[in-house]
Amino acid sequence: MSIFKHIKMALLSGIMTISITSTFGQSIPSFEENIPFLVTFGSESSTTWGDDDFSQVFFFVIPKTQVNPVFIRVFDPGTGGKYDEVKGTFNTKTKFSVYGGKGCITNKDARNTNPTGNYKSGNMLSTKMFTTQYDNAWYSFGPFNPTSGEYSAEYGGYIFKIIAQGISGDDGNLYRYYLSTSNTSNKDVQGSNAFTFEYSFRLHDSPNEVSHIYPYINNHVVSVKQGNFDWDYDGEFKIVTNTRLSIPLSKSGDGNWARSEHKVYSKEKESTFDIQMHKNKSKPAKNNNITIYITNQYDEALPFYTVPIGGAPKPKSSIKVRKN
Amino acid sequence: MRILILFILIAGGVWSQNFKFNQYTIEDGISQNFIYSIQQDSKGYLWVSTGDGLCRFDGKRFKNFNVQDGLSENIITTSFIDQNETLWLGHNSGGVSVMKNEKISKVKPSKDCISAIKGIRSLDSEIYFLSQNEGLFHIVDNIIVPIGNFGFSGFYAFEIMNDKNMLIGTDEGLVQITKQNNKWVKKSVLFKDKWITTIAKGKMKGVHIVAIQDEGISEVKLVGNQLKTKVWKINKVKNVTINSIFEDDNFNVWLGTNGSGVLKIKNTDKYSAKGRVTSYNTQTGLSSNFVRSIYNDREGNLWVGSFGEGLSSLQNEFFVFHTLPIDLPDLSTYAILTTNNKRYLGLNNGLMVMKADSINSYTFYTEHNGFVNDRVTSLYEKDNSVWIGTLKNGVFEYDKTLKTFIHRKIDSGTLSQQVNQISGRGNLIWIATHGGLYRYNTTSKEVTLFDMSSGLSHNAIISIEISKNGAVFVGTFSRNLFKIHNEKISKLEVKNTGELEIVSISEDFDDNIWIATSESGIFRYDGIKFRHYTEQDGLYSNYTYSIHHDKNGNIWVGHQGCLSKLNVTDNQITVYNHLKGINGQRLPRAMFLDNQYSLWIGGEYTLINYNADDENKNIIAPVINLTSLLIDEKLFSTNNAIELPYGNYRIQFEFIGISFKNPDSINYKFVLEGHDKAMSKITSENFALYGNLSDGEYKFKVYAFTKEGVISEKPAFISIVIDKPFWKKAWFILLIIGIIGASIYYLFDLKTRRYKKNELILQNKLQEKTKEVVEKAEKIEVINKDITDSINYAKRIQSSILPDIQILTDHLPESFIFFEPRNIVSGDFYFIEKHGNKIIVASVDCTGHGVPGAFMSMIGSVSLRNIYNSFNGTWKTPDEVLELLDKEVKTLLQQNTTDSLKPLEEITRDGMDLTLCEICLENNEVLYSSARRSIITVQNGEIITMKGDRRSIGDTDPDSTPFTLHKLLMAKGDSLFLFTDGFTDQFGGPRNKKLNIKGTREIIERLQTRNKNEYFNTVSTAFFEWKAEQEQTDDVLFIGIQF
Repeated sequence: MSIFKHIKMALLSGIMTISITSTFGQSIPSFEENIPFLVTFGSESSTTWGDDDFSQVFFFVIPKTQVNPVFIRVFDPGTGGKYDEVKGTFNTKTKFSVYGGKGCITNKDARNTNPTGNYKSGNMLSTKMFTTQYDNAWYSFGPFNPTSGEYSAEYGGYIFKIIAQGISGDDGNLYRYYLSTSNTSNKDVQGSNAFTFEYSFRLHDSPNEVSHIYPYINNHVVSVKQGNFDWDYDGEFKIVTNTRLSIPLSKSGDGNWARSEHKVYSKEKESTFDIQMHKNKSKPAKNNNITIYITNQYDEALPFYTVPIGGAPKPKSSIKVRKN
Repeated sequence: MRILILFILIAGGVWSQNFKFNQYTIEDGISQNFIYSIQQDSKGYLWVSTGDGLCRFDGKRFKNFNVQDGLSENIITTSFIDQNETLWLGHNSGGVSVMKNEKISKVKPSKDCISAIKGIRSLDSEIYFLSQNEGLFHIVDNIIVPIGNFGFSGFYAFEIMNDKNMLIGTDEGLVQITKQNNKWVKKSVLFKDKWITTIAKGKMKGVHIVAIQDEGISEVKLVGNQLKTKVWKINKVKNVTINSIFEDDNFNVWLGTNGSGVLKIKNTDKYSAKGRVTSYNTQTGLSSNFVRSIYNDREGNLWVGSFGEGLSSLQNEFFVFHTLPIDLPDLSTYAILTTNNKRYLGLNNGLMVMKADSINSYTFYTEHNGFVNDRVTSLYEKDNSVWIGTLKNGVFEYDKTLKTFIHRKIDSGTLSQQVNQISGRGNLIWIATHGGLYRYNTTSKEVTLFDMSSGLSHNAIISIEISKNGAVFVGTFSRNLFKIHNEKISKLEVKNTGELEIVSISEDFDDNIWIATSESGIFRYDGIKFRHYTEQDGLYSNYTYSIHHDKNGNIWVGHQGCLSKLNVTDNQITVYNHLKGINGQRLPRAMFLDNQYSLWIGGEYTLINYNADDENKNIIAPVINLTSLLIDEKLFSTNNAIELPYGNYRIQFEFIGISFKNPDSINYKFVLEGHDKAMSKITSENFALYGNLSDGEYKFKVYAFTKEGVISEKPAFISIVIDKPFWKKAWFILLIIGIIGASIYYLFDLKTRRYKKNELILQNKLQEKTKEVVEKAEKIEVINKDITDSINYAKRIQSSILPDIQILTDHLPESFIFFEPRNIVSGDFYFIEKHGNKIIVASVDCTGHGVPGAFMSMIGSVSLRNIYNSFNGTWKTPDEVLELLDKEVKTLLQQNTTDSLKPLEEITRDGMDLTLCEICLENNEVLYSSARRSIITVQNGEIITMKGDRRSIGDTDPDSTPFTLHKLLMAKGDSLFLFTDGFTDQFGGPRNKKLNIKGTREIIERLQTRNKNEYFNTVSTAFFEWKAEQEQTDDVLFIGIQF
């Protein structure tokens, strides 16, 4: 290897380090979740690839203190190139649309786990269709006036919604979001958060990686139902709460749903659950995409926050772990 | 390594042209930095819609309105001003607000309209608007009424083409809707599945400009009922998101984009794939690349509403800012030289040589390529060379052809290596250094030094200027400006000032020498005296760095971070500060007027190009508005006329002349009609205060002027009526008049009533009196009747004593007597008696007339008769008879004068005048005597008047002479006329005069033509004709005796 190659490698390493560092904070998925990518497949795909509805809705919460413009940045919004999951040749169109304004979150359809009804509620603020553009690059939607989101005291700020929709094709579009104050770089919006009611994402291939998602359990929840799709029985799948170290969940196979219901203890209310995904140490699934939702006893979807509310649960070690 | 550096220096930068945008953010008063829409109303106000309410901008201040003021919501997504000057505001959640006359109201919200309003327009006075998710609506009676969504779900723009066609931009294409049977229906869809981000009306009639996401721009035009499109092929706008479009008067199209700032498509390049586009973005001076709205105001200023960075305006392009293409520390321009094809910049670190017409081709000379790393302080072109002065390394000569430098060692002294300025003329080059002023002859190579030993006050020569007549003006540390001409140094004392450091000198077109000083402002030397300009005259600062004139002869002065421009015509100084883009640059002595008369000014990292023509073009009159009205410190609306109750008021009018081009240079003049006799003087104050206004009708008018004198088209005005005090009011005056009238009436009535009362009393009294009078009258009448009867009886008595005329006519038959008493009884009487052959005839006029006269006549008649009957054979002639009669009368009337004891007033003066004739019938001899009476005779046709004695019968005059006896011999046919004064004294005739003797003679003369038997009638007729309507004066007796 020549000296130039060493230098190039060193530079690339540096860039990668910066890139990884920059995904902290407002990155969706977040650093704590340890999820490499969100995923949305083209509408002509098979659901067995892990996306049950070829659509993903994410909400951003911007605190009232934010008065400057915000941008919703999408990393690798097109389908093609390095990260995306090709089926044959890349032929997928993905449309990203940002919504704010009245009904953005308060419309009941917006909080569904399935893209039905008026789930595109609110004012569409920006939209763009991607094919193969912006491979391994960021595209910025915005700027957005924070107050043009829908204000929700329940969610703690102005709500913006971004819908990724596989319009056509059969490839998997892997992407990430970043809520930023800049359109050219990822700069945190302090105090912001993001959540979704149905999470479709790509798991690490490495069996050593543990991914997390963080549903928030409010005061009215007495039991939760979880549904996971296309887990491919890829290892351990459990909930950790502030009182329990492990609540094993029903696990789905290839292209199907698995659902289970679990009681919520009173001490677990108004806290965050940690749904952990531990891949099989042996024969871990490659390119495993999964879709998960969680509802309360009324089948109302509960939000997965990318930055866990109150932090990730840390049960005391003295608590005895029991199988549910 | 050196190669790498040279590469950077030569080609590493970009010579960019910057534009100056004024920027307004929250810090300037705007309510939010997210600008959604911009409009300008007819009053000149700019209405800026933000995410936190509405802002009204007048060039200086923002006035903000939000939900507290009545807005439906704070986020205003779109705005529109209709033909009635009503501002319509569309909100983020479907609300619509209306502002009219600064009053905000809400259109009644509708549950059918809950998404962002994306456009508002009017058609036939009806307001239509587009809701992003719900489609088209209109407003009927302040109620939002849905029209339809035409099968679409995302609406982003619309424009009205005509009264039957609209264009609606959706995220699924451009929809044409048309009105059929009063219903809007979908007609066609263009650009299917494309997101139409905005639509604008083009300048060409019927043309609309449509922005299509990721596709660029297309023209759309209605031909018949069909839409025809013409795609603009221009590549540079294809992949941008266009939020706003307008086409200017020159058909250039301006685009507000999301991410690419503002793009201007040249009018000729729309349809060309390689069409030219000017970018206004963060690289060229714009504050943000995310532009939501752009607007072209009435003055032609471009307003840019950014999404997150506030409002910007590109107001002029007379300053063009060129960012130096290299990035080195402390990069200031100290010298500028422009030749036909090159531009030389003396920088802090070397020399930059660039093509004059290219922004990317330049060479930066330092020690690496033949020059030195030193500040270039001065540049002077001489033939094929450029002479370069440096701060530490003396003079260099740059060969323009060979592009090489020669170090010219004029002097070896250290101080002389510090070159401050180089200039020249002909073969002489003048080099101002800290070690003196050197003159270098390029032909003879001779060097001449001018310093303190030559007469200069200091060896450090800071500045020089060679005038048109060859004189060299020298600036140094001194209170003098030095002039070297024809080898002679003269000292021009700048009076009334201290020590000066003359940092820059410039000669203007009119041969004035201008000097800039480091701390004392500037001076003009007109060849005779100096005139001083300082901060007090308007200079930004007395600290100056440079001075030069521009194309129009105006003088530009460089300060720290600011420029001053002195208009030499009116001595007005304009300051160009950060609002004009001169912000923070230190402006050293680098000013250069190129051969195109374009002024170049050096700054830090920036080269400023000033074009005088661009500054003065398109000067639009400001619009003047009243902003507030304070009456006794209380705020009143300026929209309506003010009516105030009577009092004395302190009134303050505040106003603003809106001119966004130069809001700080607006001047005003005003008048308060009804108070001021003439317009005020021109003032820059935007208020007028009147301290003590009392009752009256006033009209305040104010005009605004630009500094160029362009006046507002019409004044702003307001009428104020301060009510009169009640005592000046018509009703009060009428009341007073009424009261006075009523009082007068009352008094009159009172008086009338009193009068009537008195009248009644008087009437009663009158009646009583009348009755009394009537009674008395009746009595008097009775008495009168009795008297009359008595008098009549007396007349009968008197008549009985009058003799019969026949006594006379028996003998003198043609004689006659005309006897006409004035009253019933007469004081006149005639006496006729016959005694023998004598007939006595007397015509007697007794004193008085009427009854007294009658008494006297009785006395006279009786006395005469008694006298004639008492003769007893002794005849008495008439004179003797008159004496007897006189005696008798006096006796009877007790008028003897001998009775001296009798009081005078008791002595009567009664008596009689008479003529007494004694006619002898035998011989017609007439003897007569007359007491005061004349007689007239006609003898032989001659009329003779004979006067009587001047003595009356009864006359008390003791000196009276005896009566005279006269004798007449009358012939046949002669006449004798006796008469009393009643005949001659009668008034009448045409002039109401007495008849007199003369008239009597005329009557007698007339008788001569008559028959004697007509004498009586003639006399009586003549008398009555003379008297006519006049009252008879006295008793009349006229006796004619015809012989």
